[in-house]
Amino acid sequence: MVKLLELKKIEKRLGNFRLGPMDMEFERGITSILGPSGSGKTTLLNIIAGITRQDNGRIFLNGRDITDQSPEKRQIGYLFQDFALFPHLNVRENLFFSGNENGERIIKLLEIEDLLDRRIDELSGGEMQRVALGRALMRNPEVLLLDEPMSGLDESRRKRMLVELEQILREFDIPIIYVTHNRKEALILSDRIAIISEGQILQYGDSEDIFERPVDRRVARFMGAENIFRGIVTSAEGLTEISWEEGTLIADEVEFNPGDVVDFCIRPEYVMIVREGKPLKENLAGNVFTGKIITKVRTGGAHEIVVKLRKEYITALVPDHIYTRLSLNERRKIKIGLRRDKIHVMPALFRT
Amino acid sequence: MMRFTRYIPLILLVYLLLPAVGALFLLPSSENIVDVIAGDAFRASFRNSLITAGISTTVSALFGIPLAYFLARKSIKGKGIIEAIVISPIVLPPIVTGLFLLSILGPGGPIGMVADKAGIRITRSLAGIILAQIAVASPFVVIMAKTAFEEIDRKLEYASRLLGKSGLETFFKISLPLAKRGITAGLLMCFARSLGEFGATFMMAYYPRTMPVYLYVSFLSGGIERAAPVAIVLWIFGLLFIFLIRLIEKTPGW
Repeated sequence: MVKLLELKKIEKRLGNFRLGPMDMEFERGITSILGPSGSGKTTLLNIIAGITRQDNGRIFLNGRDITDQSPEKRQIGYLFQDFALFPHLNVRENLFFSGNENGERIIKLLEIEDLLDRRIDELSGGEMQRVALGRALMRNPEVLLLDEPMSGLDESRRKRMLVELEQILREFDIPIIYVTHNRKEALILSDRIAIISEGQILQYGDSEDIFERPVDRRVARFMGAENIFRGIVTSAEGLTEISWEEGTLIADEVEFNPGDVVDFCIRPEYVMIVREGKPLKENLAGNVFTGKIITKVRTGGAHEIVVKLRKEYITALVPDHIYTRLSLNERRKIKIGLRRDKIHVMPALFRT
Repeated sequence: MMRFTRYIPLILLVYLLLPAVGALFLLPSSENIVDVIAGDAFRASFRNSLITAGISTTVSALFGIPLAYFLARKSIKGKGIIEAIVISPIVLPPIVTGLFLLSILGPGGPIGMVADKAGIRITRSLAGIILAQIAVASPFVVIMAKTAFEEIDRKLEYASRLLGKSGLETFFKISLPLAKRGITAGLLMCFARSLGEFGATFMMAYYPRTMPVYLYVSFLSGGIERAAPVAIVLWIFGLLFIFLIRLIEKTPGW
């Protein structure tokens, strides 16, 4: 099968910064490149687009080597961070700049019929986004690149616009690469996520998979994991027993050997409140720890509580009804249980 | 003391106004202004000035705008030297520029001799005037256009390329229209500077006469009174250019 967009050993040096060497393949659907600012996301997009020339490596688009092609030959759509609409042209002239005559479908899909005769400085941020997206799509791109398109938009409208954006993007059966530093955007929008940091792809795969099974603590942090701890595997017969600051615990993972130093994480929703006098669920056995509630934050439908164990702090997400029934006030002593089927164990990362 | 310091900023301003006061002062005393302006010699110099300044500005635009774009976009070794070369005519006395040009393009100079053999006269001709004006005035186009190009968001040019336009198409459809305000101001300054050019022109082509040379000749032969009408016409042109440059700055869309 012909790979849609393929990067082979792409490498670029910019002063002290180094991107790659990087091998990546992009399929149809939305792939997010998620990473902090300065991690090389935009540089990567610019290399794909032909704006920045890589030092090494080759790029293939639908089986064709486009490495040496200038941007205008590449058939790539690019939605720039601040949209880069031409200020001296009106909306219609911007849209039809690439010379496409039959853009009716795109104009309709983006609902910008009423904007066609407007000047660019008369558009709101959201309208600019749609016009810029329309302009990029008019080119009939074989790949669409989006560079943080939400960052310039009003916070309160972002979520709605993201959902609308996704609906539009789903109409196009091409690889779409969405660059963002916002985890939520990446999770809402994408089929696959690539985590990038300091010019290197740390993990690339199915969104769900990265969320549930980050390869190391850096990825776990990017994906919003709060409870990340270090330990040493003490036994690995069937289940994995880990010794950590608070004693020992058991995880279902089987990939490690005794003596391995590991990081492990557990999402707050899998940190359970253990009630006195009630039978302990099997998946919490061996994983019960005592601590004191330090602080609580109300989120929609649940309370997030931070519990101080002997040395470590752990965050738990408690549904409102349980929170109220147990009157989990600050400074109260409680027992928590970590679901062993939800403890994700990773090789320890020694560089922070 | 405090009161006086408040007026320090005004001192230079008042002095800068002095030539304009002088112009108004000369206006009624130059009774022969109509006669002079109607005279053949003035009309010839007026025509020469407009034609040469027009051609100089056009040539400066044709070669200066691409140079400006190159300087704004490319980072190459020795760019500082190129920029110093571009600025040098503004800093050097024009008469020095004219003298050096003359040594190359004049009858005894290497290029001058070749041109002479081909029957082309460089000095003492409109061509000489034009070459002198370009040498002195074209940097205004390059400097102003370069600044205007630098102010354009490069993403706009990238966007154009990604929408299928070549580098050249992008230049004409995006870069040039977006830089037009700065470029036009540069062209106006180049034209004004060409019109007023005296030092280098004087060395390259004392004849045919441009307005500044004619002014000088009139002054030598008839003092301030003879020179005043020409000076006033040049002054009015100057005011017109200042007005036009301000107008461009203020007009939205430019």
